[in-house]
Amino acid sequence: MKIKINNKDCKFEKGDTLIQVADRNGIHIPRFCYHDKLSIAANCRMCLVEQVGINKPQPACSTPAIENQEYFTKSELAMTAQKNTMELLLINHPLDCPVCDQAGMCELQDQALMHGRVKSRYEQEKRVVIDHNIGPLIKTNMTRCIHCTRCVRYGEEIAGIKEFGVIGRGESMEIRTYLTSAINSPMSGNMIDICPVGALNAAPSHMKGRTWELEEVKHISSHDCVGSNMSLHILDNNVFRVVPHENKKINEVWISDRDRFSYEAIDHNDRVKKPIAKINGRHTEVEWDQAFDIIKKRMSEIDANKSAGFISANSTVEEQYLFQKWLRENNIDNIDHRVSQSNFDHNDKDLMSKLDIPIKDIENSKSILLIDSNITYDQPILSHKIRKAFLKDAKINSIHTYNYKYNFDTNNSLLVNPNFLSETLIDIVEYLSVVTVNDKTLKNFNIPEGVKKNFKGLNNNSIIKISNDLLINNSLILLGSNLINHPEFQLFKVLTNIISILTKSHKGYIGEKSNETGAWLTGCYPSKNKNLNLDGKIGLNVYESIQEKLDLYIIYNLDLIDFYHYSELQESLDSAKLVIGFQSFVTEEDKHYYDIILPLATTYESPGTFINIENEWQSFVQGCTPHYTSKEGWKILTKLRLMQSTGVDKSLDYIDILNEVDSVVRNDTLHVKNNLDDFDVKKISSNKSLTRCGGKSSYYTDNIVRRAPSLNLVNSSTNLVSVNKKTLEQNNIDLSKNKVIVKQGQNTLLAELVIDENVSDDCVYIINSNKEHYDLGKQYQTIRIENV
Amino acid sequence: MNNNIRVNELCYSTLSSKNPNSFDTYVSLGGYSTWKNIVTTSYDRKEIIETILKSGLRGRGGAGFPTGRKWSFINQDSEDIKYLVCNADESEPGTCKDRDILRYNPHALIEGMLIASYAIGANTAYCYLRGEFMDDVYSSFKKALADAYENKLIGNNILKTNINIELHDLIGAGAYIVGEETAMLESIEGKKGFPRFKPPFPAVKGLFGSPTIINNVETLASVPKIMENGPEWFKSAGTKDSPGFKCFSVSGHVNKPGNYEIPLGTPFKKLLELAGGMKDGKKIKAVIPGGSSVPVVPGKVMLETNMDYESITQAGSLLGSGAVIIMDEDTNMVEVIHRIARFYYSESCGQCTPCREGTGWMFKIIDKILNGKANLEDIKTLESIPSMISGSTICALGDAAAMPVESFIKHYKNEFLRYINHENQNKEKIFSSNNNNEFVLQKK
Repeated sequence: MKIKINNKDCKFEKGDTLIQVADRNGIHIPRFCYHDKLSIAANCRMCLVEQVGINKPQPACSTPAIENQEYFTKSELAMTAQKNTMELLLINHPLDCPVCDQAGMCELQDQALMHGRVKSRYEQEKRVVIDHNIGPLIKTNMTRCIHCTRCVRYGEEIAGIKEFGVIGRGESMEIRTYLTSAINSPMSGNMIDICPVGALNAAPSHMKGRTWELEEVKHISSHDCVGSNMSLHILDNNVFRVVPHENKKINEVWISDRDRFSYEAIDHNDRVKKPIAKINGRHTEVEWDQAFDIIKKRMSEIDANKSAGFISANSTVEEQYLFQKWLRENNIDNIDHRVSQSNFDHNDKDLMSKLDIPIKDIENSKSILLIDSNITYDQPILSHKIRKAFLKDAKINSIHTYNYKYNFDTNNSLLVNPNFLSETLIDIVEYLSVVTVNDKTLKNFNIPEGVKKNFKGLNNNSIIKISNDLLINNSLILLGSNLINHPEFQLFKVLTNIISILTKSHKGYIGEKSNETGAWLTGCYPSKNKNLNLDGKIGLNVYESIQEKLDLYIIYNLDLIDFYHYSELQESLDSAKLVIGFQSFVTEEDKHYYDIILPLATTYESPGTFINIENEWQSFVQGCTPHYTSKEGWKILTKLRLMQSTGVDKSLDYIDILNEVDSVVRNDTLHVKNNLDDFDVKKISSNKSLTRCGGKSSYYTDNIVRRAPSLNLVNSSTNLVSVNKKTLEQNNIDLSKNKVIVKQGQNTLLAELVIDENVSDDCVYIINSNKEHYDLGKQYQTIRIENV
Repeated sequence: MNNNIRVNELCYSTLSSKNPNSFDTYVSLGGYSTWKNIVTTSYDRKEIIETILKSGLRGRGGAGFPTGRKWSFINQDSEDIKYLVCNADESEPGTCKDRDILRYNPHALIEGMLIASYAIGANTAYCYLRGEFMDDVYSSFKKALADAYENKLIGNNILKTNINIELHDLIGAGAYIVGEETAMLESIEGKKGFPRFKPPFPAVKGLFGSPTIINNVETLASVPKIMENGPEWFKSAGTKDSPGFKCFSVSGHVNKPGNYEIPLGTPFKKLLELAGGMKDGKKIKAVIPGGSSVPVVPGKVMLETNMDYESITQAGSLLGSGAVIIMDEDTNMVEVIHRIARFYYSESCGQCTPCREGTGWMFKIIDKILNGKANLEDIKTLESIPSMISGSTICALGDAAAMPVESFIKHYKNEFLRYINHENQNKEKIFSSNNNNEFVLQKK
């Protein structure tokens, strides 16, 4: 089908609006309210064009293209209409471009230049709108608002949390939160981008720079497992702000607030500014060469078998590759990245660290099961995809240990105590084993006897409903990242795998780290040998390394609280002969454990590659040069290899390293074994005592995020303890008091009590959002709760 | 006194009875016979629409769209849920015809809604009343609705015929814009009253996303009689293109303001006579013939015009909702337009730019003129604004705000200029009602 726009033949499909056809054909029609990801509002009246045969101008955004119809976007009728709209839009606009953040990238400014008058005919008083505080991320200046309602529609349609609305009528119409409250959506920052004027501004960069002074560098986010594409805007070698970069396969045109505002951490007080070495028991700033010499000398004094290295799964592939290479060249095999994992049973059965369908296909799933995932806050982009599936009538089910708030509705949700989660999953296997008994395609798959012996008959209706939904074609099971702290984590993975085989579902473990796939591929775990071949168990895993109390620990890009075995680690570090840190940030408390700290560039200051959850390799260049005297990880590791490793005599370029990693591991498949015959369910925790549960606050996930000041204002770090009423009464807690004491072992914490029916019975729900929570003890362990 | 004019034959036919709004009165005058006949004989839906189409009944809300054609847009035989909405949000300044139908002849509306619902295949109908009807109007309608339910004329299994039509009454919160049909749909859905852009039209995608027909009170209340007496009876009144009767709400400087239901095409002079003629014997200066949204017509022209759609269009205005506002020679036209402009300024919903910004701008300039602070340039600007608004907004409120301003300046520019050339005039006369500090200082 064809239409003519400005005498140009344009093809279109049924249902296309004029503006879509024009956009595809490179014909620009000015617009404010239209956004291709949002519903049509047709309220700005800027896109008025001429439709031949109709004497009134028609809005291109809402006018469907009609076969063989002719349109003109620049005829006198169209231009007059556009000019008129422009003049009317500007009469109440403050025209304060000289002090507006949006100036230079403002759609209103651009249009005014093209269609506006030189001088306003409006001489009366302009409208002034009072601004309300809507939280630390968005600074409003609603006097500039042109009421396009993009932000309102964004909240309703994309974020799924309706927070902004239209209040009032006519000239006193106002966009604001219905009650004066902060915006809570984890993707709220996108409203700043879609606002065509300077009404919604990024609060952290508000009034701190001008658009035309910025340099744009494409980058990949390091704060969740999808690797959102974003652009860093650089001002004077500082990240000034972060905006999304379109990637249709991953983040479309959105990024989460975490990706947008984390950059603020770069110059945090904890930043390591110079190499630090402990000389005569005192931390002293030293030069790089001196630090390298000390490392070389001290490491040579220590037995390689009594050494271990831990690297963050948020580090780049290049760093991970060089890190394990450097250590293995120096015969250190105790390498691991799984620092927040509590348990390493069934290690060789199934690792399942990635999603086995592309991220963009999640929205086409017909049924999705979330297993204890706070996905809306932990992985906003994935949650957005699930929301899209939900809007396409997919059935979303959830089995969880806390009634998480999602931006989509669930069909069935089942709240279970974390101690009984494995039993719930086994119940599902049991039900599925019955209903799939005649399925010939499963002939070669036997449910392991170890699982079968736990079958105990079914009586839970929700389990049947949830299982039946999984039998729908094109279903997906997602295992949440909170469970990594659970002692039965590996069991959950295996059970998920069994369920996915039985139901022919896709599956994925949504880890919180940006480069977990990379860490597996580059061999940052102890089962690989020097040549990155699987060779049985060679080294010690992170838990064993900590328990063995080794002499040398090397910690790369991790805070100590990132370790699940945090308290044990502290003891081991205390007794070690040498502790080397490659760190961008070190807290004052952690500092004393280290003998040497090398200042590491953050991901913003370093080039690198992240491999996301769907195995997509995404490389990026450095946004700015490393601050202070810090250096990029690949440079430090290359230098160390040159100094310490035998047979390394040539300094490598970054590109050489990238090529080497690529050729060595690109085609490597993850270590997955599906032979489950000898699999046995070892019930680790099934005690009926009070259990601590909960994950990390989504703004406390890695060493950068937890230091970003604005995000930390959103993530209130107060000590909150949520328990349901029944459990409180059973533990004789005085409900009239708002404070309680929680105890784990010898540690106590005074916290505010929240009576919360979203918590399962016999659980104390604590979201880790400050160091005290880690000092108290571990998740999924016994906890006591007492009156003050 | 005017025996040659047929008055109050259709929507106001119960007015001469003692209890005009009671169920019994309505039934005694032959009410509900059509509806009973339709349901008991499983009347052909297409035939109803055919009859209405033949009668030439045009929408009485203001736009005058042929009702039969509107109904025929709905696919009667589709299984989709369909809705009928009665627009009883009568807010056009000067209009009060629907109020009196709701008050004195609510059963005609109910019967009309039932017939219309049946014709389009809707099982649910809503009657949306304006918030200001909260008092007697709402209770009169509610009472009538309860009576009709009680007599099994509405609801499930009407008269044991397996026909189900539910009729709900709703009351608004007083926004003028909700009288716009799509804004009304939003309001019924529980949302803010913002008009929707068209297409899609309500007949395709209306209330709750389903095909919906929206008609004015007077239109629907006319339906039973047309069905009862046949289209020819209806066409016996009125002109060829504007057949039938129309209620006119006459207000302003007349002796007997009120609602008059007369055949379309009746000369304005007759209507003025009906309304008791000009108050205090003054001369007529101007008439707004169809509610505040339509252009003003000079009295001279109006006296030569008939009250039907075509004649009034020829006179440069619109029949609109039939609210005839008559002004005498002493009327200050700048003050009138000041009041009208203020109304649209405060009633614009704010959704789309031209109306939100333009109505305010027009009012502010007129205000400036009235305060004697304007110059010629302001009048020029004011003259240009209506054309910037009309035709470029989502709904017709933009046009409604623009047309009066445009016509007032066109016909009474001199009065605007008088406020500007005040140096050459007797200042005291012009500013007599004005407490302008600046001017007081000058006088001293």
